[in-house]
Amino acid sequence: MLRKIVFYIFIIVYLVLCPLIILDSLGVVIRPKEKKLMMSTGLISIDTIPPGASLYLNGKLFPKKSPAIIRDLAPGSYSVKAELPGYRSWEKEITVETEQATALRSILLIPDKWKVQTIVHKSFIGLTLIEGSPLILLTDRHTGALTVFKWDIGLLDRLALSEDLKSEDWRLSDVFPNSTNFNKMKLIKVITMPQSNYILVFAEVDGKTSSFWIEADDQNKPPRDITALLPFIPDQVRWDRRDPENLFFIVEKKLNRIDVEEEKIFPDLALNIKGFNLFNKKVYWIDSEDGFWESDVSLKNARSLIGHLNKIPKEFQGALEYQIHALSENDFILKDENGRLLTNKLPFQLVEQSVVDFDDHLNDNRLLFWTKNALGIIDFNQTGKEGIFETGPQITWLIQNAENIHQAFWVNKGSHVLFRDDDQVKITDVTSVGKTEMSTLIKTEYPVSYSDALGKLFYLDETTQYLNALTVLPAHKYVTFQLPETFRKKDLR
Amino acid sequence: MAFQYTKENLSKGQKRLQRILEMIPGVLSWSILGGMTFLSFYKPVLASIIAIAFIFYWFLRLIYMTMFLVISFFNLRRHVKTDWLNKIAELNNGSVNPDLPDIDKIYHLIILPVAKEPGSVLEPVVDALALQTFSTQKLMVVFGVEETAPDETKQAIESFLKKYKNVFSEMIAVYHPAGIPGEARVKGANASYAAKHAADVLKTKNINFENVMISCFDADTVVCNQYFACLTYFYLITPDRNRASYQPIPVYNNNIWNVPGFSRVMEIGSSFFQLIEATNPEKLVTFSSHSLSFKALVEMDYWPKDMISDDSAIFWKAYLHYQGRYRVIPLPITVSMDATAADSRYQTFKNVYKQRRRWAYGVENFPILMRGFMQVQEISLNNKIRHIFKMLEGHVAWATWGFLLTTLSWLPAELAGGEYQSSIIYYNEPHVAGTIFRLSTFSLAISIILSIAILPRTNAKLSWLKKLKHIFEWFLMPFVLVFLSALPALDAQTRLMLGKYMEFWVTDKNRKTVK
Repeated sequence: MLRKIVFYIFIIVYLVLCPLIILDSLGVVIRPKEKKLMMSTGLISIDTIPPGASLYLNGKLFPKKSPAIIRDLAPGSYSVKAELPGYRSWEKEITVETEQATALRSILLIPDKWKVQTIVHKSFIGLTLIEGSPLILLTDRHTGALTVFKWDIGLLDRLALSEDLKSEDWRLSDVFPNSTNFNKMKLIKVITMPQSNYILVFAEVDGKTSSFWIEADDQNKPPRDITALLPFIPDQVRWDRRDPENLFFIVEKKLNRIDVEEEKIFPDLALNIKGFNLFNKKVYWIDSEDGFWESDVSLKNARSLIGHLNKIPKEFQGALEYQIHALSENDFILKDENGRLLTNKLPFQLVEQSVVDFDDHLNDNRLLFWTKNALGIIDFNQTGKEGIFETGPQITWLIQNAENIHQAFWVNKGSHVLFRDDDQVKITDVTSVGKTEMSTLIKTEYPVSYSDALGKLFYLDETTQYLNALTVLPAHKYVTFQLPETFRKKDLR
Repeated sequence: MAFQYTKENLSKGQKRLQRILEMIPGVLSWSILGGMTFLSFYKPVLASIIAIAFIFYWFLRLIYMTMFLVISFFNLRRHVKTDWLNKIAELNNGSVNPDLPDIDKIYHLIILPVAKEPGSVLEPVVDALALQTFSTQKLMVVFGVEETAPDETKQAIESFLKKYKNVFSEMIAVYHPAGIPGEARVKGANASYAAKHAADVLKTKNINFENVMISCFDADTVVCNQYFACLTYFYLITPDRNRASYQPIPVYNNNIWNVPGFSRVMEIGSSFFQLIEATNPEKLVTFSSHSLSFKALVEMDYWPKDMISDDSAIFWKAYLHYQGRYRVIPLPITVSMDATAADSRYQTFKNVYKQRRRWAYGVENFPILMRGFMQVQEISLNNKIRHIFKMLEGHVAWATWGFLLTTLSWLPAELAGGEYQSSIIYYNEPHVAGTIFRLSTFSLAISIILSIAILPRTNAKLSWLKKLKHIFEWFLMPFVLVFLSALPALDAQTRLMLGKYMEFWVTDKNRKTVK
């Protein structure tokens, strides 16, 4: 009997509470005293880097710190502010819609003073970080020797976890540990590929150009002298990170391949090349007759990528050289010698001219590009429209009055952009369009490197030329997983 | 017409019906899991709403079950010191109840089916029978020994026969030949063979079957010294006593401190489940070691000889045989068995998995019961629906809830993208689920307290440390729920669904310590 009574009580509890919980989860607020009993609301989700910032909505303080979810918000415009001691305050006007969540993800708070540490107390004159690889290449100031900085995955964690880097955490290794005469060589050029631990080094030995193929993170493997195969510096060299045995290069518009393992050269694989690249063990190239081709590495089974067209569309024609970049097997970005930026998707032309370079490493269909004076983002997710006509991906100009942009990097998975303008390295918030706020991190005349995985900017100090690391993303971003505090509008103070 | 409780020798039509019915539980479970995955992909908002409704339902049910667990636990505690012999004597004090059978004529037949268990496992079982407060001269012990049992086991049994020759009214070993036509390699076949032999012995002794209770135990079932007194008392006070099975609470205390944490949590969970079930006699079904009237067993032609789940199958067989006029009486007393153990944690894990799969294979009763209900018209429709719903819901919940509880709160968020990620429910579902899960720790805390109370004392020097460790073992619950509960149940249902029938797998009764 007792069991039956309890059973029916529980059924009633369920039938009453379950719909209420579901309505609440859908953002419907029950207001027994109001004329309109139920009201649909929206919410704001906000998290900051670093967390723990005080949050204000329309000037009113919330009792909990970020990350947080603020619920039960009537539709409308709200001013959101985040404040953390030692950091600049962050503020934004946002619109809340019914049954919708407005997410302010990974808001990077800019510190009043950037944290800088000297990693190696030794002077260098050149610095290259290979994107997606644990290597930094440094050129010794005094000897001109090339030095590799390496951290393994364990160290990567320690880097992310610990704020106090010590120089002994880093393994400094000479690329040529057993070579006695390397210091007599004069370094001419170093070529790297993103995510590849291999580097191609050109050096002057006894007045002649020599080339070395080096597995840079393995000290036990001596550099391979490939001067016999490549006794000069070609116009373009590339290799696929998944297939480091095959080196492709262009000389006098002819595409050649070197099989490093076999020590063989396969010359003149394709003629009149305007540009080429490799992706997923496939070679892509455009020739002087404006054909666009794909083949395996042997180049014996070339396939046209332009279907029944005789030539690539007219928007592409007229260029002498192309820098080809494959985003996937079907998506390409091309840059010609005039800095015109193109894609194989309509409307083909993205930027008319003057593009210096671009960064596509974000993997969210956004491309960061820069000219000498401007910095822009192309968002392939958002297609513009004029009347009934699509105008292609939207371009957002972040900066249009820069002095001379040399480099740019995505930061914090695309919430910010870091760039080197003349001798200043600056950071800007991508989301605050219209009133772009910039912050200067450092001054340097040398190239810099940024790793978003580590959240560090690596650069050579202007005075000492020591290798420094500036913390852009605080380390605890990687180790704390804080569930957002959820609270309601009525909690406002 | 007597319904044949078997899936063998069916007519063509019945065979087809049996096959279709066998597929229902597996199809339902897979549909629920697949459906939720599909909804998470394509209708994530709907999936989130269902998830919230389900998790809240689960929470209320958890609280409901916890309430009855506590009631049942204290009921069990209340009877620990009950002198059941005295209570039997009280029944005859004053005015003698004419309905009561003559207590002196009541006999207990104990069947101990043995497959490969060593003497070290059997000895405490027999010792416990010899220490009963109820007269051991009224106990008849029958070892149902598989002919294929190892020599060591057979020798141990022979030594028991000599040692306890004069302790019990009778103690015999019946060797069950392998490969008898119509039998599968299941415990029910062995137990039935032994019970038939015992029936012959009873006949020669002129003992009326109506006065005999039969207890079919596992080979590791150690009963407390009051078990038969308690059983006799409930047998005497139960109206229509021969139309009932008598179910004690199984605990797994024989070696509970020597098994890995996950196994301990599993076994205590099983005991708790039986404690909760004991509060609902209307829907109680026999499980593991239990007792019933020998007359009823003979009338319904013993246990099914082709089913793995002989413990529950015998109840359903009786329920159909007596056209719904059969029930289970819960006994406020425990019987102790071995927790599954092996030489290594991995092997123990495998053994527990196989044991749970065997238990979950009790779903094989569903198609037979459905056919039975279609044929036996005397059972009310209400009772048919009630029992079928409970059985089907129980098995489907067993196979799916573990997966749903551990995945539903994040699955839509992981699988769906786009618009769903900007919906309110995307943010609210994990919050609601998290709140409910936090509230459910109240139930977990009660389970931990009760488990500490129900566990036997340990001989270890730092017993408090062991108990402290046991508290943390309960946090293995999500792992246990998925890998040692839902997965084996889904495995069992899938086998039945695909017609890949299981045979009996004897659980290792290894007493070795796993550190």
